[in-house]
Amino acid sequence: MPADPVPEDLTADPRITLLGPQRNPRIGQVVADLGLAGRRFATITTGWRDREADDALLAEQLGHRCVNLGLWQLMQEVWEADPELAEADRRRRLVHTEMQELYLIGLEQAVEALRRIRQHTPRDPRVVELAVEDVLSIMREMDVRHLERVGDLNHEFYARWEPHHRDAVVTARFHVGRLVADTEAVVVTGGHVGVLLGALHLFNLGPALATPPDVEPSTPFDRSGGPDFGPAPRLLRPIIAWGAGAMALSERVLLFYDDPVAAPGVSELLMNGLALTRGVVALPSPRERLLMRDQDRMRMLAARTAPWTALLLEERAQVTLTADGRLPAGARVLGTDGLPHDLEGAA
Amino acid sequence: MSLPTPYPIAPRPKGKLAINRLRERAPLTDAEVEEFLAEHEVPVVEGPRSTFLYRGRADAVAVLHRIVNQPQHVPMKRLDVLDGDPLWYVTIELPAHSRVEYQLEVRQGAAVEAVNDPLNPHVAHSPVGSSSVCQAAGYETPTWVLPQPESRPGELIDWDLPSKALRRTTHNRVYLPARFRRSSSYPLLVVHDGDDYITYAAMKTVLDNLIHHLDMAETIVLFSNPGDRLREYPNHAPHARHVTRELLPALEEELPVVRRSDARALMGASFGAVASLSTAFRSPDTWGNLFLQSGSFVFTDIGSDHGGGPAFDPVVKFMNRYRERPRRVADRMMITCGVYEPLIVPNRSMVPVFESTGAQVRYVESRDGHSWENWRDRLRDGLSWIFPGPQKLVYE
Repeated sequence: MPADPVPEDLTADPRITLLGPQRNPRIGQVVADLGLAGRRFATITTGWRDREADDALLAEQLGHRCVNLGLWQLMQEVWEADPELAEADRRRRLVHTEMQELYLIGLEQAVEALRRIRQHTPRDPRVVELAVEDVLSIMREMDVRHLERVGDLNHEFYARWEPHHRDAVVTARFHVGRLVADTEAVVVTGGHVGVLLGALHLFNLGPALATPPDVEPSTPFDRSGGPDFGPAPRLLRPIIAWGAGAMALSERVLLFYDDPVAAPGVSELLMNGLALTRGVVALPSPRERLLMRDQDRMRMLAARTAPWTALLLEERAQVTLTADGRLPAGARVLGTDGLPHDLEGAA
Repeated sequence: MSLPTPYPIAPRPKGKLAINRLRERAPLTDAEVEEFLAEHEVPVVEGPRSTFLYRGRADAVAVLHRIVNQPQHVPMKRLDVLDGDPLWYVTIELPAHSRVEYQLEVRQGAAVEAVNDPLNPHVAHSPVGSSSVCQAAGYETPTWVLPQPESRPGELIDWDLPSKALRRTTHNRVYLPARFRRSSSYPLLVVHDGDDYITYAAMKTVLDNLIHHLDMAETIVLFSNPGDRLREYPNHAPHARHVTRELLPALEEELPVVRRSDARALMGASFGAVASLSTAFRSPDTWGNLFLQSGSFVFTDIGSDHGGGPAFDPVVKFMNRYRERPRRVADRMMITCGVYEPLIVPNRSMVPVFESTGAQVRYVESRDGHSWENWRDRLRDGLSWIFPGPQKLVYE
């Protein structure tokens, strides 16, 4: 596949650029590298929740040519103005949490089964491989069903309560739309991915960031069995994102942390993201959050995310996706062998 | 759900023990013994074997440790020194990752004295005093109990509250997490023996660290302190009334705490665990979570002779009655206990009883004793389970 270089003028040919964590912010340098210095940015710091407005450092990195969309604050105002919707949303989140907990119980059992199968001393290694594949297949099925159920839950909520027809939401969406329209690029920071996604959906940021593709992919596989994620939405302006922001832009949001104190250390899908990418599952700070040296575990993770490719967003990662939202050659990804690799061709 | 604690096997060093190498050099001089003591931390831990030492004149010296179901009086052997006091020693095998509390019994004529080990700086604190601690191979003080510069500190505020139920003014401290905002809502944790948890279990530091690292939700913590502990904590109706009907409403009035049982927790150690349990028992559906450490859950299956002394009478009466008719006192219960303390038996026994009520029970054992350091080291397990932080949802 021919290389897809980063265009010189990203505002004319907008792309998504995904970064590693910005604890030591490099966003100013990245903006300069991408030729976006001096452009006016919309910033989305909703993942920081009640500290959303503490964005002085980010504004400084962007040369103070930016406007914070203030989605978290807007969301609080919507809840206050429309208590019925707030209560309905609280109930939706409670059901989602319960779904997540029960799905996790199933995953835990599957992980335990994998552990026991791998401990088994095989008389024929193929038998163990088949048993492992069976469990992985069950996990993938659970992943798909969970995403479908969460999708149904959210769809029911929007169909029944019609936030898009409620005054508080309509006013807020109009306000956000005006703010975004006045900018040339967007930055989405890390933080709480659930809160971020909730706000992005409530204020319908998807259409503000991109126009949908003509054809939605019906399946991630084409007839030959290879991945086929269909065309990506057409971006309206370049987007730079990291952490939870990177996850929210992708198709599937995978929660992962292999060393939790109390929660089970099994990765779980949270919900679908905005799907502005194609074939990408973003994994920010993988070395801090994953037992990368446990190759079996990493192989399992890669197998669960397939055919989506797990993108490893380390400290200094900077990955500009192709025009069709795919990973470029050279992106650091988790291979099916459970090891990190540089992607050879665009995926 | 009960959790076996995974303990890696400590490597077994090759060669002779240090004490045996020293003995081979007999007759020993004072300088040789002093050099040996200067070179080694005491007890000398070599793989699974720990050598206890004492330097001084005595008729007999013994290690008095507190490992349940083991001989707790271990005589030490005497090693004469040409020009100085004798050296006493004994080697005991201790499982990896253990923390064992002990004292030395020094007998001189008719005088017998139990003292903390003068050669060992490590001391454990418990409700009944302090003792020396042997940290066996593999034990490490968790990093999250130590101050970490990156952790934003919360704030401790003195908070007195007059109590009609207890007929005294209660002296409490409120912990507000870093970046506390009145516009947010926080879960509430009420801690018995609050000042001891702060002083001996580094609980403020632990809270700062766990909250900073997203292991635990931002939480308002009320550190309460007893008046007459042995009266107020073992199933004392006025204490329960104070906590639920005075303290809780006052806190809800004063601070932005979530007003739901699932966002409230009671915790305590030893008698403080009994106080937590009995307070929740007396107010069903108020306290959704309990964190009980080394609970003094003494009970009898036959008769009422429990051997714990009069202080345990109300405990035994309460526990026996509870065991006859168990009912759910909280939705979620975190229970921890050290395997070397006598209370391990009643704690293990109560886990299935609590589980039978439909409560979600998480039970964690450790190779440790009845001490604040044990309870400190289990805080992360408990606090992050009771009020989990958003770690899996936050990606910077």
